Amino acid sequence: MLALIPALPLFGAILNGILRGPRAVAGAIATAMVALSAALSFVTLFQVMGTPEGGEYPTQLLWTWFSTGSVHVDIAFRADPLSAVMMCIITGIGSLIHLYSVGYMDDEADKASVWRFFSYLNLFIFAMLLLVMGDSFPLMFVGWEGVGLCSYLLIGFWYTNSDYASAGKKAFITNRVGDFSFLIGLFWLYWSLGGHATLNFVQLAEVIEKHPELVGGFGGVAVTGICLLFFGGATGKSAQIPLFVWLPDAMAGPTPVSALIHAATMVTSGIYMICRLNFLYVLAPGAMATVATIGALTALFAATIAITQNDIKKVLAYSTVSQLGFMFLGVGVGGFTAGFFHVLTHAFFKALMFLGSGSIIHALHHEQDMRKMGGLRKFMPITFATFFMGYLAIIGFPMFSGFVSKDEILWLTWSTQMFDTLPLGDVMPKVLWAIGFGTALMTAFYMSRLMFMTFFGEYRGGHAHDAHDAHGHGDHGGHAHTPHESPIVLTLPLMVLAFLSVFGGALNLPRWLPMSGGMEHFLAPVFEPAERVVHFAEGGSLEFVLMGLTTLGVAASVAFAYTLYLSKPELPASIAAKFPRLYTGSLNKWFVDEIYEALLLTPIVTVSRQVLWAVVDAQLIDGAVNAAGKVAVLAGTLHGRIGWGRVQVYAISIALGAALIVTAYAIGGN
Amino acid sequence: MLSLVTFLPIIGALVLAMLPRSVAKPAALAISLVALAASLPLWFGYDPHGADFQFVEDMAWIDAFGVRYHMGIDGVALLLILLTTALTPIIILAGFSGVEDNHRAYFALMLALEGAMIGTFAALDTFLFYMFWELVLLPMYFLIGIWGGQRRIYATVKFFIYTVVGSLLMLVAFVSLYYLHYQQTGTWSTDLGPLLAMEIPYDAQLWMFLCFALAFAIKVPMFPFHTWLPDAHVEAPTGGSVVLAGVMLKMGTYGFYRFAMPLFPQAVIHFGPWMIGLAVVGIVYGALVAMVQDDIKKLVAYSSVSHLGYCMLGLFALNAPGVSGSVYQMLNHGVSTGALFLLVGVLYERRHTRMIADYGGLAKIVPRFAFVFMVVTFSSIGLPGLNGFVGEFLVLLGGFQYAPIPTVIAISGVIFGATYMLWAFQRVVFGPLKNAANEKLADLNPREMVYLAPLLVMIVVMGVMPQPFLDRINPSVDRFVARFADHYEGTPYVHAGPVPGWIAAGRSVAPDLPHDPEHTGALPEAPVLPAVTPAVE
Repeated sequence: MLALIPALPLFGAILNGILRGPRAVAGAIATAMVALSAALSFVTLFQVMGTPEGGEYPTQLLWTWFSTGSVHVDIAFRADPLSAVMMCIITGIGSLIHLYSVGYMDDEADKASVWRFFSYLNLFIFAMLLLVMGDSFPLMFVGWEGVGLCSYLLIGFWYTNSDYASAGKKAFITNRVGDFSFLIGLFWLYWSLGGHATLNFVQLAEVIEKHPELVGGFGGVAVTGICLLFFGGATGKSAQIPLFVWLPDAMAGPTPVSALIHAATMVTSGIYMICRLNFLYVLAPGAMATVATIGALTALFAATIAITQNDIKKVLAYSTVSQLGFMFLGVGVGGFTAGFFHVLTHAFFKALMFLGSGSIIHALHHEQDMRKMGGLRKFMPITFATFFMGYLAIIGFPMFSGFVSKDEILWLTWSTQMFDTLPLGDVMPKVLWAIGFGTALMTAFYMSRLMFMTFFGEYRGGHAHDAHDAHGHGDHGGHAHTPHESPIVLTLPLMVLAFLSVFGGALNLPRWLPMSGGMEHFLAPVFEPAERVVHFAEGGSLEFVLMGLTTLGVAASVAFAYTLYLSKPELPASIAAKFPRLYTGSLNKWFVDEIYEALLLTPIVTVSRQVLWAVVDAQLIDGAVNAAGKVAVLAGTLHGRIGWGRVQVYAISIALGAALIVTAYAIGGN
Repeated sequence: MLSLVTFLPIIGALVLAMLPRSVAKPAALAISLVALAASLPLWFGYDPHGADFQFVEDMAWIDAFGVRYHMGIDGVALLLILLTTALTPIIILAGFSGVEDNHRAYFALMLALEGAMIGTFAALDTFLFYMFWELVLLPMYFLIGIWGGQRRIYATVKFFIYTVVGSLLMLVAFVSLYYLHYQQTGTWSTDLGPLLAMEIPYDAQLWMFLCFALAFAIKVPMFPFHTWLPDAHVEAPTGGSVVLAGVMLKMGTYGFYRFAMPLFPQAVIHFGPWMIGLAVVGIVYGALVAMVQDDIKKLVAYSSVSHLGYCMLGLFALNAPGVSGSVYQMLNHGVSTGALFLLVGVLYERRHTRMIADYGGLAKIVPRFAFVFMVVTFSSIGLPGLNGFVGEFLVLLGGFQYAPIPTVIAISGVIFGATYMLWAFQRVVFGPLKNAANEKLADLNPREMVYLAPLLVMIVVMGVMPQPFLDRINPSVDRFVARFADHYEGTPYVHAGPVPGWIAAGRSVAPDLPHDPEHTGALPEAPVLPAVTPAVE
């Protein structure tokens, strides 16, 4: 049964590829497959819940994938609590987004190829499920790269636009840089285990528990290196420093893709992987500190870019990078459940906001520039109301889902004792907390800015619908109109997600409430090795002081944004003018793309073309060969005939020569 | 059985030459299909756990010189032969169009080539092997020289110079080996079995290995002996390119696997770091140079240099995952790169240009072509789930044990590999339609789909279910690996953790062993090597 969960969307992808039906048919097939898969996922979740302590989780072995020497890999699935939750996120939110896409992909330009969209989307669900259900590294890697493939295909869905196609390629290649690191880590881990070598997660956890010395024990060089290399892989997939550059460009894909792949699911793979390997990571406080630091820095860095972006999807994209940073901060300080719970709540509210922005973009005929929005509250009440719930969740309005998960991360950051063995280990949690705190305030600011620019004030779009070539695709006509609310097929998923964004926190209530820590208890068997190692200081009243501080700061940020973007809208420009460098830096994403281009891409291409090909190949090696060739041609002309007839002569002389030499040796030997 | 599989295409070629030209196409296809059918019993009859060599035919041939007609295959040869027989009908079907004139001769040469290649993989007598090896070259010269592009003469001469150098060196080594065997035993033999049983002096191993290695390295081709390949590929007709990349390059890797390495195990240990170094340079260099090509055929040619680098890395990793992965990678490369050249051929036939810049935006015009191209591209990139991944993963896993640092450099190939293929794919298939000449481009026709379909199926099947293939490869690889196990500490199975630093320091045989002037053939004591330090503290 377990295998059916990924098999259904795969079947849907293939079926749509064969049928190539119109939107309604392709969408219905795709949505039905994911919905079925979701139903089975929830059944599996309950099965896992019902598994007694120490009992066997559902598994299914299909066949031996490859086996040679000591290497043995099966195509086998396993649903432990961690996988089960991920499966439900993927297929649950996946179904909603599939449904939404049926309404969203109704443009004339896509009519002929919308089946392709649904086929890719189903394929993505399949790959993402493999990633979380595979019971071994290689099978997880199939999903890991498979989601990359689908991301590539969907970012470049409107492939006739070269920029979009390039964005897809950039995503794939940047992820490959991460995979490079991942593979090194995997090989190092594998061979470190000696006679216990395995690629299977369950066996690996057992081996590490029994023989931590194989990887150097607690704080060992090997385990630290391995964990850092794995984290390198995570920075690619989950868009962290230094490999985050692909995610904002990935917004070139249709908006449902941004919601599903580039917010809710694929980009959380890195966090999933670290959670999966928590037994390894807790042996390496140095690696954990790196994860937490990179996470915190990415959260802050992305937030500094998000505050000046004008493209609504770009704001959400940098916000996603920033929130992913929070998740890494959470797992990095040892709060695996907290980090992972943020994956869940973020999936709710960020998918909601992306879909909400999609609803706007759809209504405005592919307008994404917030400067041409405003006042949409009046035209699109449902989109506004639902979006507002997501907004409250992300800024951390008390007891909304985002508040519950983010607050837990911040508190665990403050109180972690994970880094006590490291130099500066006592200061680090406080510094990290401060970064997280600052980021939370900035998040509240830029999300308020987005909210005010989009939904409040006066509508600034209106009649000039000819200037959106850069964002749109195909031909949408230039007729003037006022924005209108989206159809139910778009708003229904918004409503469901809004509900989850508000109440999702109930799944893992803070420890100071009754019925607390639902998720924590459920995931305890997975994070049990980590629980034994990681400790947190007792909080007492300090926890509430910090929480109050954050909430107050958030409120102040919102008020500040209100002043800037609603009550005194002339202010932002004058502030920008006062700090021109900061403003252009932030607006241009701190020129990271340009720096990579100049330091990495251009030199590699130039050296390859000018040195390797032009000099080494063409001059050094071929120079030598051509010199030899001249001699041969000279000899050839002696034989008389020009043209390829010469070759015959050579060929026959080889054969004759061979026979002669052998004969000579043989006779000589006698 | 083996003789039948080997000579059926050659006889077929002769028959075809006598048939009227009008039936050349169907007749050639029929012959190649019969040859394929004849080879299938090898797959079903081969016992993975059976003897070292199966389907053996061994009889005296030139008794005076100790030359035997000795044929037999292990799992590796089996799969390479099947690759050959499976690719040939595809190539012939693809040759129904695009070959401008004299189809009959073209197909006849192709069939002769097939037979000669099969013979190369099946021969267990060095003389017989050499004969087939040289026999392969003849049809290839003609295929490039007659049906090639504008610079075909240059390409042919270059190809010829490279291969003749290699062939002569190989000949010298074979003859020396032959002579050495006589000195040691008093009997003449060119048969591989007795030669393998010899104990070859250390210094003799070194120079003989070098001769073989150079001959085979040219064929593979390893950096820096690769420059014949891009020219040969660019000038060769589509079918020629497919055979060249699909099968002929594997004659080089197979030569290492069958002769150069098992015959001289100590030399392999000694030169291992160098070979691994060149393999790794080839992987990265091939990928980087492929990236900057404007001609798509050249791009694919350089990608072969990169991919074959993986094969060499795996072979010299001398452990089960490495060598099995290497062999699997040979098959994968045959399928994927064969398909790539066929696709390039499809474009070339329609537009008569190989320049990437002349294309762009084809996805809308020729969606079926774009789909196939995409699958093949991702197969070539090594996307997990498709065939390329399994081989690449095993090679790198194996390589990492034996030589971690070089393998780390090799792993960077996964980035560059994705870069050049996706960039090329994007420039051909995505973007706006820039060139008006492409507007009327016809999509794949039924014949083209028929010959591409089996390759697509294999790309998926070999990615998802590689084990039936590995089951046949593994036992042979185990025997191969065992030959080196005595010569260095820490056999592949008893693992000691990754070695920090460059492997050369740890595992090479001490160089200054006493030279034995009497040529008594006594094998020097296997030197005691410093224990490998595990990375774990």
